[in-house]
Amino acid sequence: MPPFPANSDDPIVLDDSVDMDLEPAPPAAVDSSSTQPWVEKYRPKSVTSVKHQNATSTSLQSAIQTNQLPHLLFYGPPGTGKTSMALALTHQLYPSSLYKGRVLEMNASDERGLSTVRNKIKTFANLTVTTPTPTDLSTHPCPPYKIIILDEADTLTKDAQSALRRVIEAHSRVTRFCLICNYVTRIITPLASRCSKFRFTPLPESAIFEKLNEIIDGEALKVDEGVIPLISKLSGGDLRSAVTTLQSASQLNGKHVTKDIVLQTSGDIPESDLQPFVSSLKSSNYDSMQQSVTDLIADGWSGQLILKGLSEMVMDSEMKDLGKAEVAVKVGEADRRLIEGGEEWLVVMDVGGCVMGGFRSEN
Amino acid sequence: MALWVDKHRPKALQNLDYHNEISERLEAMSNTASLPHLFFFGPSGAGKKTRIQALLKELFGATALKTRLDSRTFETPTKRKIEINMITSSVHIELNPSDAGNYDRYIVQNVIKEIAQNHPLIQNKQVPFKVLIINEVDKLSKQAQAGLRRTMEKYTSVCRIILVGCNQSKVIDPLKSRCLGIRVAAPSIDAIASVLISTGKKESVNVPNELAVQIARMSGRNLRRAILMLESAHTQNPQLDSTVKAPRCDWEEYIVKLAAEVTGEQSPQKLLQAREMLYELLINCIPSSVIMKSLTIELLKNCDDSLKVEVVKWAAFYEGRMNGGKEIFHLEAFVAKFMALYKEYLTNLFG
Repeated sequence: MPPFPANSDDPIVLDDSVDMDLEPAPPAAVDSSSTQPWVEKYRPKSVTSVKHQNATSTSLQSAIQTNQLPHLLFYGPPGTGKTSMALALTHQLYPSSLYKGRVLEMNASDERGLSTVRNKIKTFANLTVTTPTPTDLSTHPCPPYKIIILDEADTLTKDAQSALRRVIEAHSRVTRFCLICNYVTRIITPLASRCSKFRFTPLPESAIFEKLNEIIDGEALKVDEGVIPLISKLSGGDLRSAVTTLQSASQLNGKHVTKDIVLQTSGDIPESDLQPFVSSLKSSNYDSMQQSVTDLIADGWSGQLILKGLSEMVMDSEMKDLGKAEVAVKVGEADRRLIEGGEEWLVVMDVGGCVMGGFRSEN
Repeated sequence: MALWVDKHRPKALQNLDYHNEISERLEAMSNTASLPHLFFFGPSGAGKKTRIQALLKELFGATALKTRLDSRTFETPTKRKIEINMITSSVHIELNPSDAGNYDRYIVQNVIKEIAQNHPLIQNKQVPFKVLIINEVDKLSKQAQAGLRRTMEKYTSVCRIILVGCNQSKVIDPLKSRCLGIRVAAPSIDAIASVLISTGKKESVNVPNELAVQIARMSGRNLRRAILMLESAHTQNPQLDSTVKAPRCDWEEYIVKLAAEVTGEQSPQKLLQAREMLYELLINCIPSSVIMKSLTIELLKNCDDSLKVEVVKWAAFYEGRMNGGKEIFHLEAFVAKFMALYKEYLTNLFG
């Protein structure tokens, strides 16, 4: 008898989080693939086609073949393929007819407090698995357990994580958990020790090139020379941001992507905008610095971006090492003040004064 | 009678006065029906909302302009009732989840998700989605922002989300990477001046060029403020000619006076006097960070370069400490610090 509390669950909530394919279908006249973000459209379909994470994909592939799946913990920076890996894994294990009953996907958009763990997750973990039909078995391994994917698990509260501990153990006969997070340190140790951990590393240029080229071919885009290396440099190993940059850039200019457009969409301050600020610093002109900071902030650039551009400029400049070190300390302090909600103008001006002093002591 | 700001707000993308490249881009996007999620950022009074309204009109026609105020209540898991106001039309919904303070994440998880899941009311072949405008996204807690991540991806086929915020750094990267960022810079002084003159024409008021430029400068490149200043100048002197001075807000005058007092004499008695003036500003609801910034700008006018560096350093220091604390202490500490610095500077200067 399945231990199913009578008043436990409203089916709508369960349905909703079970399957990403269940989203309301768009009106028939429109081709959904044209409006779909490319990040979704080009998500890898199998574990082995996830780029770069070879160690993880090999061990998961063998897990699929042997049906021996441990509890999983994926961690790593954004855009390295954690969610893709988990989704590809489940799609390889179960056919779409079984998917709904076997996989529960939950992320930060769902309420995941203590009560959710106690009711929803526990109930789902408790369910016995149905027997797959012979046709399903011929195409997919259909192992006799369910998978619960907890995406963005580092946003789970401590209490909720503690409540999961026993749930994971007690139901391991019929349920595997897959936790996904950016910061493994925010997962409590008892929970982390119950899973086998896989670290996802930022993608090297070659892997990003490969994926971008695949998309460019698929979408029949015209791309100028030097665009792909530029996108990959801006993304810093985050494939999702690389793909989104490519998509936004292509939407602006009808399938033709140029370097300028990529720079515009990337959201960094172009050097030409930073130039008045930098030259006022080098010439020790305080009034023109005050004006240029006021202008930069009025142009919509945030304090953090200005500081980022400024510190890069200083580190590449001819300033003495001691001066650079002082600026680095100042920038660090300023960044913290900004995070705590400090007034941007004052904070940037403060750093500007320090940099100016550094340049002045050169001469 | 509507204020000039609202009365003469441009309604269509073609009528916008500046940032033509943004208007062209928005127009191109609204024609293809493949509108991505958008993130408008830029300082206040730069015209973010005006552009969004114009974009909606371009997409949906006049229906987008027929708005009404709705409010919804819902209950958090801790049994607290929360009410949220939203502006809706049949094609779009605009809301401000940061109003709910710490409970903003429940709004994202419940209200926004529910809105995003449902089909648009009007089935329109060209534009098969509705638009959800989320204001002040930079004020949302990290948790609430994280809650938006999957919602934005999952329901793209029926819903486009437009995020609006002042500070792009306060929005988490995963959200930014899902949107096309559109930076709306504050208009230049010249652009503001020409808007002021053309607004004057529509009201059949002659605005002299010098006055327009003067107001534009004083507004701090904030168009909304500039138009409000023009209107208040007009109500004071119906005939605007070149002798009319742009009106300054009372509190700005007051800060100028405070700065003059502080630079005039440095003594414990003056400090007491300055405290009273600071209290006066605070009880009139001037935000403390604004007081600190304007006061610093005023004080800098009387300093030489080396002193300016020091003054700004301490202003940033005390402003940083002010958050969450008792504001008057830190404002007063800054004034005292300035007095000490200034006195020392004067002594060194005159021996």
